[in-house]
Amino acid sequence: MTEPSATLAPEATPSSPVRRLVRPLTLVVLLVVVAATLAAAWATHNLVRDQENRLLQERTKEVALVLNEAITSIQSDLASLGTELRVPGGMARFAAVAAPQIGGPSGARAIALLQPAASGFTVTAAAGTGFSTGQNVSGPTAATAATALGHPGVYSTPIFRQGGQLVIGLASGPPAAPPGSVLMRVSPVTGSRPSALQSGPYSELYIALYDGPTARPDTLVLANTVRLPLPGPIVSEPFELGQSPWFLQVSARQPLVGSVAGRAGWFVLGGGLVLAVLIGVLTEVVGRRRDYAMVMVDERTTELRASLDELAATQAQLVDRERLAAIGQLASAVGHELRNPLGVISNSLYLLRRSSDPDDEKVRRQLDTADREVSAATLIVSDLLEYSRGRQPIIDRVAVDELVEEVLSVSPAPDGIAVSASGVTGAPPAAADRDQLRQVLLNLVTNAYDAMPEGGSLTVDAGPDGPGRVLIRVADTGTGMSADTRAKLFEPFFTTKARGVGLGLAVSARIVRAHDGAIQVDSAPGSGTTFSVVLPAFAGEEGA
Amino acid sequence: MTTVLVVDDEPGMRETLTDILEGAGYAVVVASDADSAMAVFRRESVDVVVMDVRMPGRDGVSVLQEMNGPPPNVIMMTAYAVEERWREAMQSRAYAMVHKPFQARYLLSLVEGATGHPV
Repeated sequence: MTEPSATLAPEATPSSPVRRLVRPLTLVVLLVVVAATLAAAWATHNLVRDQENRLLQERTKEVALVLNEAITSIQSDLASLGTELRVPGGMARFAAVAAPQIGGPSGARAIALLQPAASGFTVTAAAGTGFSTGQNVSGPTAATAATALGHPGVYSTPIFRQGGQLVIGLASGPPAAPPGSVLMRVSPVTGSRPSALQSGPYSELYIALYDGPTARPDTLVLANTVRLPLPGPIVSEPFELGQSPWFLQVSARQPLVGSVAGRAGWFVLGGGLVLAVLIGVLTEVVGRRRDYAMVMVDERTTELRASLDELAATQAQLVDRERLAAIGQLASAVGHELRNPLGVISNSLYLLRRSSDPDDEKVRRQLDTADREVSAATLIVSDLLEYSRGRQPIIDRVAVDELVEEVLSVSPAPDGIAVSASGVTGAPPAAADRDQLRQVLLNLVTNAYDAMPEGGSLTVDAGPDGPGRVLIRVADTGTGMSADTRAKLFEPFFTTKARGVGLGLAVSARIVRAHDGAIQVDSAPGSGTTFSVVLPAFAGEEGA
Repeated sequence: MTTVLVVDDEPGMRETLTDILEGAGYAVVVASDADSAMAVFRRESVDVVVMDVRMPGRDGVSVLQEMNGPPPNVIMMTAYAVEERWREAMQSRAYAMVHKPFQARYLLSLVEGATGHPV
C-alpha cells in the first residue's frame, strides 16, 4: 500500500487572479510619469517666461534708446534752428530756416518762436500750420514754454488738440533758442510715431510712452495700440527726457521667444501625458503577461510535480507488484511442496488418534496440538498465497454450519478454552467461495485462540442479517485490543503476535470485500474481541 | 464391498489414505499415476475414486475425463491453493474437490456421500 497524498499535496495555490482594472504597479508608474511631466512642464514654462521677460526687457531698453535718440534729434534740430536764427537777419528767414523740419513722415506740424508777453507768450515767428505770428499763447502750452525758458533741455506739453488733430509740443529755451525766447515744435501724435518703431523688430511690441512718472492716461504721449493699459506682461522703464521724468511701458504682441517656444510648457505637458499613458499601457500589458506567465509556470510546476509523484507511486507499485509476483511464485511452489507433507502428517495424526487409547487424555492433547499446528502451518501458506495472488472468489452454496464445524475440527481448541458453536445451527447457506471463507474463519478462530493465552471461551454463531445476508460472528473473551491496534488491524504485515507474518486479517478483509461482504471488529482492552462477517446469502433455495 | 481407487504420486499420501479408508471398512486399490490408474480402473470394479489433480505425466483431470461413463464418483484432491483446473474438474462431473491437507473425517464423509450409503 502506498502512502497517499502526504507528500503529494501541493500547497494550495491562492492565486486565483483577482481581475483588477489597473494593477497597482501601473498606477504608480502612471502617477510618477504624470508628476514628472507636470514638473517638467512647469520648469519649461518658467524657463520660457524668464527668457520672454529678459527679451522684453532688452527690447524695452532698445525702444527707450530709439525714443531717446528721436527726441534728442528733435532737440538738436531745435538747437540748430536756434543757431541759424541768431545769425544777423536770421529771424527774417524763420520760415525758410524751419521749412526742412516741417512735414514728412517724422516731421513737425508747426514750429514757432515764442516770447513772453504780458499774459502768457506771443508768437513772434511761425512756420507750418497751427501758429500765426502775433498770436497769443496761454494754457498748458504757455506753461511748458515758461518752464523751457527757465531751464535748459527739452520739455513736452501734454497732448492737446490743435486744428482737429491731436498734437504734442516740445519746447526748448536758451541756450538752444535765442535769448529770451522759446522754440516750440508741435508734432501730430497719430501718425507721427517714430518711424523706427513702426516696423522691424518693434512691430512685435505694444509701446506706450507717458509724460510723467506713472502710466496715467492723461499723460500719454505716444502709443502704437488703442488697447490701454497694455495687455500681457508689461515691462516699465522710466527714462529722463531733459529734466522731466518720462515713463515707457512695453509688452509683446506675440511671444518674443516665438509662438512654438512660447507654448513649450504646454507641449511638454501634452507630450508627457501621452507618454504617461503609453508607459502606463505598456507597464500594464507587460505586467499582465508576466502574471499570466507566472500562473502558467505555477500550473506546469504543479502538473510536473504531480506527474513525478504519480511516476514514483507507479514505480513503487510496479516494484511491489513484481516483488509480490516473485513471492507468489515462491509461495506457490513452496506451498505445494508443504501441503502434501502436511496432508500426510494430518492423515497420520488421524490414524494415530484412531489407534490410541481414547481415554488417554495426554495423548489426545498431544494429537490436538499437532492438528492445530498443522492447521496453523497450512494457514500461513494459504494466507501468503492469497495475499500474493489474490483471486476472484468462485461463488457456490456454502453450508455455514458445516464449514464452522470443519474449521473447528481442523483447528481444535487449546486447553483452557471452551468452544461453543451451537449458535450456527440453522444458519442460512452463504453464497461464497468455500475455500476462501474457510480461510477467513480459520484466521478468525486462530486469532481468537491466540488472544486467550490464559484460557477463556470462544463463541461462534451465525444467522440471517437482514434480507439476503448472512452474519457470522466469532467472539472471544481474550485480552481485547486498543484503538490503535484496531485502526491498523487490517493492514498487511501488522501483527501483535510473536509468530505469524501479519497477513491473516488483511487477506480475510480482502476476501470478504471480494464477496461484496463486510468485516467489522468490536473490541476494547480487557473485554474481548468480536469479529462480524456479513456475506450474501445463497439465493438458490428457500431461506433456512 | 465398496471399492475405492486412490490415485496419488506421493507414497505417504497413498499409504495413509489406504489405512484410513480400510479402517473405515472400504476395499482400497491404489495407483501412482494416470496410466496405471486407468489400468486399475478398467480391471477392477471401482465404486469411488480419490485422485490427486497434479501428477507427473497426465494429470488427474484428464483421467477423470477418460473415465467418462456411468459413475464411479470421483473426488479430486489438490495441494494448490489456487487450482486452475477446478472448474474443468467440476464440469467433468467430479463429485467433490478437497484441498490438502484435509481432515480425514471430512474425506470419509465425502466418500460415504459418493457411495450413496454408509459403509
